[in-house]
Amino acid sequence: MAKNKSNSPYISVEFDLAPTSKRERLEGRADFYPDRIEIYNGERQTTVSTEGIKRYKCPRGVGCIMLEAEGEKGDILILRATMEHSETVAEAVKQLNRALDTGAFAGMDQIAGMLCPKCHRPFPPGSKTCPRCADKGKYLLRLWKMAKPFRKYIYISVIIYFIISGINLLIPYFNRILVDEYINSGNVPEVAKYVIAVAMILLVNIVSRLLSMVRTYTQTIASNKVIVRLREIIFDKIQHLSLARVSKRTSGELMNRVTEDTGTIQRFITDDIGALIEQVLMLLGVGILLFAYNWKLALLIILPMPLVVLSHRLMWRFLRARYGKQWHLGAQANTILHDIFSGIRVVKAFGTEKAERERYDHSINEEKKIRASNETYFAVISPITSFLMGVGEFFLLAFVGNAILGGTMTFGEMQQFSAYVGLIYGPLRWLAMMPRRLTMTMTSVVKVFDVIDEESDVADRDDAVSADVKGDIEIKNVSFGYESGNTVLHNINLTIRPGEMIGIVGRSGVGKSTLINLIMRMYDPDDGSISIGGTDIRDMTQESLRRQMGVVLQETMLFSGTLYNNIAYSKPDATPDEVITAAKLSGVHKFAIKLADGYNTIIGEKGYTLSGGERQRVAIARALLHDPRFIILDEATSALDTETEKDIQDALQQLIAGRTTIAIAHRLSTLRNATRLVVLDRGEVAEVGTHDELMKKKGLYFDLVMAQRQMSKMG
Amino acid sequence: MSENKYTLADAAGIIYLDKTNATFFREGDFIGAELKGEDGTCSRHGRVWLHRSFPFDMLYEYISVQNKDQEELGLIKNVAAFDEDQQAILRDELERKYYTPQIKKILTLKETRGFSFWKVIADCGELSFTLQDTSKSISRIGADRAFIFDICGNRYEIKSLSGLDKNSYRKLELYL
Repeated sequence: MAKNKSNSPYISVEFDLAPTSKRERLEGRADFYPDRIEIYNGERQTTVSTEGIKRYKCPRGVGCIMLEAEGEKGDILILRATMEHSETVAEAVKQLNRALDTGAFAGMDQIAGMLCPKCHRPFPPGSKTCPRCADKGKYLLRLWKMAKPFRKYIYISVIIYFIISGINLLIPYFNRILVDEYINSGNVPEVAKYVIAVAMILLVNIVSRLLSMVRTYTQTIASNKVIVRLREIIFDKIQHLSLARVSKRTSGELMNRVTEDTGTIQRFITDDIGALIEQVLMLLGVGILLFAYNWKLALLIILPMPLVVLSHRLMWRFLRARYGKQWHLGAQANTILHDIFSGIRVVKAFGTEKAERERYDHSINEEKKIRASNETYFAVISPITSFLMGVGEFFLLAFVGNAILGGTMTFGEMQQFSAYVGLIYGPLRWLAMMPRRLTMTMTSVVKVFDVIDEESDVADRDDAVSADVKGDIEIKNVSFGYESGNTVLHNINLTIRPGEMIGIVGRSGVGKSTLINLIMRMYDPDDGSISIGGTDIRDMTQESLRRQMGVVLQETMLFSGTLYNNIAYSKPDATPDEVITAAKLSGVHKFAIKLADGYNTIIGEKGYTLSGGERQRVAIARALLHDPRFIILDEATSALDTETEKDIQDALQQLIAGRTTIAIAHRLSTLRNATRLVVLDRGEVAEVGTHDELMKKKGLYFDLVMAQRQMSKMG
Repeated sequence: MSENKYTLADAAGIIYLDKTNATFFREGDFIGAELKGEDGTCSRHGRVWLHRSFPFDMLYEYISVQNKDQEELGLIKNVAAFDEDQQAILRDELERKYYTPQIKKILTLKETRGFSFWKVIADCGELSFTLQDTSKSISRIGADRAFIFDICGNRYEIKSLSGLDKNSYRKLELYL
């Protein structure tokens, strides 16, 4: 390592906690130079020599993270920070170790945007959208852009809204004519004109209803098209995100994005946008008419409106959180119910029915309490706001009553005016609720775009090639950790030749499945490279890489559908001949022909239940049908009893014949046919060789075999 | 048939540590331990790691003492069973690993679009943090305690919900 004194650090890491147990925050910075580390903590400066430092690490505490150095005389604590700094610290550790390995002290890459540049609050995990600063307008604009192909439907519905609003304003006018000219005029009415007036009211109503139908139709088309597009985009995006990114979110959360959030957006487009236009038009139209008719009276009606709007907003602000709690408690009760029913065998076995009953009772009673309290609040508040809303009508009544008695207003005029007043309250009530609706929609819009905007960390390069991969699999200096800084695999080097069967063995948690995930490019290594036939797998399209790989895992996922479809999942265009051939080789055929519905038997959640062995056979049939060049077996038989495993082994032999195979198995006897065995220990390759070579070596593999033999003797 | 006198505790083979068989010492920035086995042999560990078995309920009881491979060397039933200087070493190390500020007062709590933004006064000063899905991020422990987990992975404790001032409690109440 270079020992020359340098004036500027190659890495700087900020921290906010004291290295001791002190609770108060202590802001500081650690500057890393090739020969020393200078730590400033506001109070003092400490210098630590890098002489003898072998490795850096970042163990996590609870609510804090440490940066430590592994020195010759033991570990040294460099800094301690809250979890806001966890990604920076982990990234720094990665770069520091790289510098130790390579001797090149490059400056740390900027870790892009962990904090919102505007409010300096951290982004939610896996997101680069600040929930606080997200620009509503920007998202609505994007939604609008997304709706481009379907905008004509939206335009049509807006025009229809416009017409309906105008027509609705005509009804009070015709009513007035009816009252003043014919009902209350004192003259003998002309029947023909009377009928015309009634017919006009009827006609206006019919036209309005018909237009409403057309409007609903066009709106539904528009919103459905937008939503289908949106769901397609999200679904596609989620499918293309790396395993790491997808794993950060629960499946329930992802399902919510695709169904619930898009549903909220759909409701907004179908109901709210149209209604907003209608209500605003109505408000403007009626407002203008009222003011034109009698501005003093109009003012009397409008006057209490700010109070009404304010009271509505206050009411909902108050009730929103309460309804939120009610929803949360309801969901909690459902979770308990789901838990109990799905675990009913355990409940019965331990005789805990009474305790479970009490748990559920407690939960529904809590919900009942908040529900009752919410209903009470609503019952008290709602009449008050309704009264406030109607205050204007009392003013109106007093005013028009006086006017009629004074002879300055006719009954018809009063009727028309009252109808307009009634028409103006509707939009006002609706608009008072608008911010709440908009907030709900924006929550969903932001969440949806959050997924859409997420960048996949295992993305295909623009110049990635789609080619059949063949040749050696070469793993060169590969290091990887699921959380940066905490390495699972360290500096792995391995070459797998075509047709070889490689068995990967080692204790649980040693990184066997991780290595396989890297070969399949579910993740990208932090350091080093994996290539097939000399081409880095990052230069290939993921589709072409995985097309060549067949996988049999410990647990086989069966999709709801027929046995046939489950086998053909890996090759949807397979002919029945091909499916039966694969089934025969894997041993599926043997049990398929015993089923009443044969290959048409419905399996999955609501269908025929396959045994563990049968499921694995389906998985092998799938892989055979896929006809891959590389086979990955990840504990393919470990969930099976020895007898079934023996049967499955024969099927597996059919699968792996002539193909490059990488197999993981706890039961070492499963790997007896392996060309070579790779023993992993503490994230590193500890031993490589054939069974005989490793047994002679009497190392880790020998110990593992001996331990298993001991176990089987005991069995 | 004779009664089996071999208990589950025997089968578990837990090594309980107390002042008779364990001595802890500070070693550089960390702590080490000298442990005495049942046969009287001593082993010195330059660094040991402490782990709370019940981090919510028993902060200084059932503390697992581990080596760097996270293998348990022994279990401290109660830190209080050690001499005072030893207790100080153990408590300090635990406090350093488990950083959980205690919230004394909630200044503001605003919720928008599925996130809530908090400004609180804690035992370590004024703090701001963000929660995603507020109700799910608050765990009630017993009737009067709560833990809050923010989006970064920090956690905060409210030792006594009933001890909060009215305003703070009102802000929090609906998420409990």
